Amino acid sequence: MNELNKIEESIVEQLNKADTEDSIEKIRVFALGKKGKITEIMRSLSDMNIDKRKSFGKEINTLKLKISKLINDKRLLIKNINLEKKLKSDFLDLTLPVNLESNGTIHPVSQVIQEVSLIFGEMGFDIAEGPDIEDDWHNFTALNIPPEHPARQMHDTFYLQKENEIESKTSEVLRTHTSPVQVRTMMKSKPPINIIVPGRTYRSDSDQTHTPMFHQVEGLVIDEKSHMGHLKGCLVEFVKKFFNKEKINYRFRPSYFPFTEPSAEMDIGCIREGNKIVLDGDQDWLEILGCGMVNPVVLENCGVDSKKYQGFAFGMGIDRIAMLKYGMPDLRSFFDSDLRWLKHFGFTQFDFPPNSRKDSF
Amino acid sequence: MKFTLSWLRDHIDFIDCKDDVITISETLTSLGLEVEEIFDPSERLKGFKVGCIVEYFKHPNADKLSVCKVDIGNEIIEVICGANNLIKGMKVVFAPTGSIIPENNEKLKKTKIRGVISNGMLCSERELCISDEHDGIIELEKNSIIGSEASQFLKSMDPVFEIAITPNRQDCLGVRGIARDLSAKGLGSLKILNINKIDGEFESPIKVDINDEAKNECCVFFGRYIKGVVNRESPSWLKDRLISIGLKPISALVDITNYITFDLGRPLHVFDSSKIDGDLSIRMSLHGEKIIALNDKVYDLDNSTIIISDKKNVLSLAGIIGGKESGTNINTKDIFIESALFKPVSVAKSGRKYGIESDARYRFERGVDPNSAEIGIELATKMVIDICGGNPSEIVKAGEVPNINKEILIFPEKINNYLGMEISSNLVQEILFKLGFNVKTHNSGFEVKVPSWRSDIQGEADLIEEISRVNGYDKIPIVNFRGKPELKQSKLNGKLNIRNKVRKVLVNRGFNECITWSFMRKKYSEYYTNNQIELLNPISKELDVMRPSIIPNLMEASKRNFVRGLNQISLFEIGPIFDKKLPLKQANILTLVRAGIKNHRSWEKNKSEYSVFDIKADIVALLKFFNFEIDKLPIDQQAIPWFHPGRSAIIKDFNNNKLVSFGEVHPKILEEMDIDFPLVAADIYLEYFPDFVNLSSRKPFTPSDFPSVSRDFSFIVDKSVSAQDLILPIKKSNIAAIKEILIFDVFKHESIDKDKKSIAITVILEPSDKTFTDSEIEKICKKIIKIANYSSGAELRN
Repeated sequence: MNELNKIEESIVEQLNKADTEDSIEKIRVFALGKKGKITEIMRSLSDMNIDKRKSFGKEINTLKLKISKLINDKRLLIKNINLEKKLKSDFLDLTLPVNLESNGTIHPVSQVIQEVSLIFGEMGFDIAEGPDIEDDWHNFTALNIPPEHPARQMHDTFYLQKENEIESKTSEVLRTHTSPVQVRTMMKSKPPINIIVPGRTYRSDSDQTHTPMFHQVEGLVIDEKSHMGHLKGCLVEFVKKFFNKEKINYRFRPSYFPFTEPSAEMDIGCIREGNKIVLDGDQDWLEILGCGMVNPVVLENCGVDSKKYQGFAFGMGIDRIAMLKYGMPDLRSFFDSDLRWLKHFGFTQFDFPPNSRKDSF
Repeated sequence: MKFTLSWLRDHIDFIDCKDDVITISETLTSLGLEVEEIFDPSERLKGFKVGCIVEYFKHPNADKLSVCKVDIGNEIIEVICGANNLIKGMKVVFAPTGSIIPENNEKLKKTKIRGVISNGMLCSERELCISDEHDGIIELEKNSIIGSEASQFLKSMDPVFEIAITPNRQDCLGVRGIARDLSAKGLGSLKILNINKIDGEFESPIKVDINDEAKNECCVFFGRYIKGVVNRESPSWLKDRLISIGLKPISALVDITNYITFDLGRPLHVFDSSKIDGDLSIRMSLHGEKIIALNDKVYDLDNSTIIISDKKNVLSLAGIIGGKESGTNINTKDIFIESALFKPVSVAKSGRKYGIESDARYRFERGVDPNSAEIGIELATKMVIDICGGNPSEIVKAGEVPNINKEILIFPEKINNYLGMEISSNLVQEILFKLGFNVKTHNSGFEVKVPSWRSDIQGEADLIEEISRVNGYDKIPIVNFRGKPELKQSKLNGKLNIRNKVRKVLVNRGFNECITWSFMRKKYSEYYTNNQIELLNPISKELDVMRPSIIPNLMEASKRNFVRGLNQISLFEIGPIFDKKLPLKQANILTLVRAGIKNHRSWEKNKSEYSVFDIKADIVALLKFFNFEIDKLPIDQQAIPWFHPGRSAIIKDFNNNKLVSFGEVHPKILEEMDIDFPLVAADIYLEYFPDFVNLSSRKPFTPSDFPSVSRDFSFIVDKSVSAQDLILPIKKSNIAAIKEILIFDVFKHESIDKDKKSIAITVILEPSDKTFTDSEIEKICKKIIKIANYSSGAELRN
């Protein structure tokens, strides 16, 4: 057995015993490091004559390659064994529950206001707003509801306490409808006017179907030519889009509002099944909005020339159409902030429509 | 307004096949007289037949029962009956098995009664809900046809309509007005109202005077004395009419006035003239006067109520209610009838003042037909004489019937422009004529004279409505509508954009949007303002002021949820707050509340509760979405009265506008509102938020190609120095390389002076054009230490 064989045997023996990456590295240094056995022998080659160098050189090279491979193989083996061990110990019980960051909800009223705004926005309506606290004139008188008019009694108005005697001339009220915003708009801007007005409204009424605060959306169109036909077209389009139905039964029925003339109420066909209302058929009718041509008296009150301009107005209860569209049975729960209700009937941010298509870019 | 079909027939001759309940009902609604309910008594008696008792005999096993053989047309069947008015050959109402008995709404079953099968039932009036009569079964008229529907031969089968009358249609508060509308729509022709003048037989011993002051409130008064009447129970036709519309018959004299009120919409009053002392005077009341009204209530009058009085007493609140003293009773012999015209505003005012609802007030405040005053007195006289006898005096009259001569010009072009359709001139004339308008052509249009009963018709638009509703709203075409083609980005659109973006951000962070009342309890408002706006007529004591803050409402909402066991609460509301000092007394704000448990105990984490830093995180996130340089906005930790003084702060923008105030709610308020769980809140003033973020003009993108380095500094500062005091000056310095500053430790320790604390920060530096050299980093670090020392007295810890 020559020297090379001994070296090989010793290395193989060491490798067989080795069980960590560190010990392998030690063996590598022992064999192939700068001062390693094989390196030393290779270095001694230069002292040999050319023939011996040739034959021995070949031998030693073969050994070097062999040892390198053995070391690498063993290293890989140990690495794999170690990985196996680690993987075993890394096991996690993935059936454990995770903690979700809960997503919140948008209130159905906000959602519906947004849906309504989008539909009317595409028809060319701007949005207007006005104060919740109004004076008597904007809420009633300007709208052709003079002080002793029977229609005033129907409004169950909330009055505000007067601060002092100077103020006492005009009483302040919580707006009973969004219509005073019509007045404000006509007084400050010139026709053509196309607005919708969503907002809070108040009446001192509280029972199963009435709350002292509720929401309305108002529409106003003033120009030189818009007529009852346009009014019908506008509202029929709205109802179809809002309720997402191509075919919907509806009727316009004469009615009375002091601020419109002619006045109408729009009913949509429905089927009542107990407390549930299904928008279908024409067995039964459900009143959803009031509308009409703006009374010339109102136009004149607001400084609009009624000989030149005409137009239409409409108003509906947002909470009501929301209940209808989304099957929410009780109006009072809208304002109760019960988290269970909010989570059940609320909407995610992804369902929330943009202001209008134009605003979303 | 209620009326029956037969009552309607008094005023209209229906065209054949246009007098069924459904046609009438649909027509009424299409005219704007919305049918609210129809009660057709014959409806529930469908299938009940006329039967004839062929023979009957005693039930073999029951003393009080009989077995009847009843001919029901196609067969003769056996029915058991307990009535004691059975007669052979009697026509009866037979309910076959399976029919539903109106009295108890139960289905009639074929039953064996003591061994004998009964194949139906013979009915009493009570069982059919016709009357309370239950002494025996109904005996129908002899000519009733065996086997046909029993309802045809029963009395009280008149369908009752109930319709909603809008405030403008006073004329339809009488059956005649409704009939007129139906005739205009083509259901029949309106009958002529024959009112004959009745000559007086003597001069009325009672005279009437309208006082000067009262002339603005009362236009005209017709009175008539009738002597020697016999007040009695009304005849059954009159009683039935009143009962059918829900009125209680009292006595002929009272019933006659009620009848005319509902027949013609003409309120009347009848005094017992023996109780009138001297003449009648229509005048304004005097302070201290009182009246005991027919409703048995005593009213103390002010000095501005229009009344009718005699020499001594107030006899009636004019147009509203009569006095009890001067009213008629069954012994009344001589009467004085009043048919007057009071102004709507005057009646509405006193009705509201004394809180009295009456059929007369309801009509007068909507405007009674002036010409009906004279018609009313004549018709009432006739009915009284017919029913109660007596001798009429001549009519006494005070004031004058106002001469209403309203003429309106209307042009077909205007009608077309308003309705978007053409209506022929002939049709326009025909409709208006049938409604009682007098129409003359005038140039290219019409001159229309308004009838006295239509005080609601003021101008062209009103006439267009009349034409259009009779012609049918369904005939108006549906025309596509488009308003402004281009929507401008208005200021308001911007505001709405802000609110909607806020909603999305907050919902993404787990908040639930809610809507609470704009009102709140006054006591809670006092934490927030001294200038709260109070309601004069709040719905309840808990909701008596306009809210100056949304926080208490969300606190109460949190409490309600907590009580229900929902203890992980994140609520927000966008809405108005109110204060006398605000412009237009209101402002729209956003309020956030986090309350209760942030994380429940889990296998990963311990339970944690919401802290003020959670709400700060929400605020920072929100402000970042609106491009505020939140790192550089100062946080002013000043005391806000409704927050914990040491745990609340205000954030302002660079223009010193308050953007946010937030904190832990003051423990005192929590206690007073009975809230025993942690609650943090924020008010966010959206008006200073930027609306349109122009996405196409953002800063250029300049990432560094060179590695960033970080250096830690451990500073010792005075206890009073805030993190912001230390960091903000460094952030605001001109060291461009500073990318980020993180605070990784804040502590106090024995090793540090007790008036000092340690704040340890990491500064991340990012070179822009080349890798930092050690000396460059060293230089920056020195600068940072210098700034810290200069601005907040910070010393580097050893």
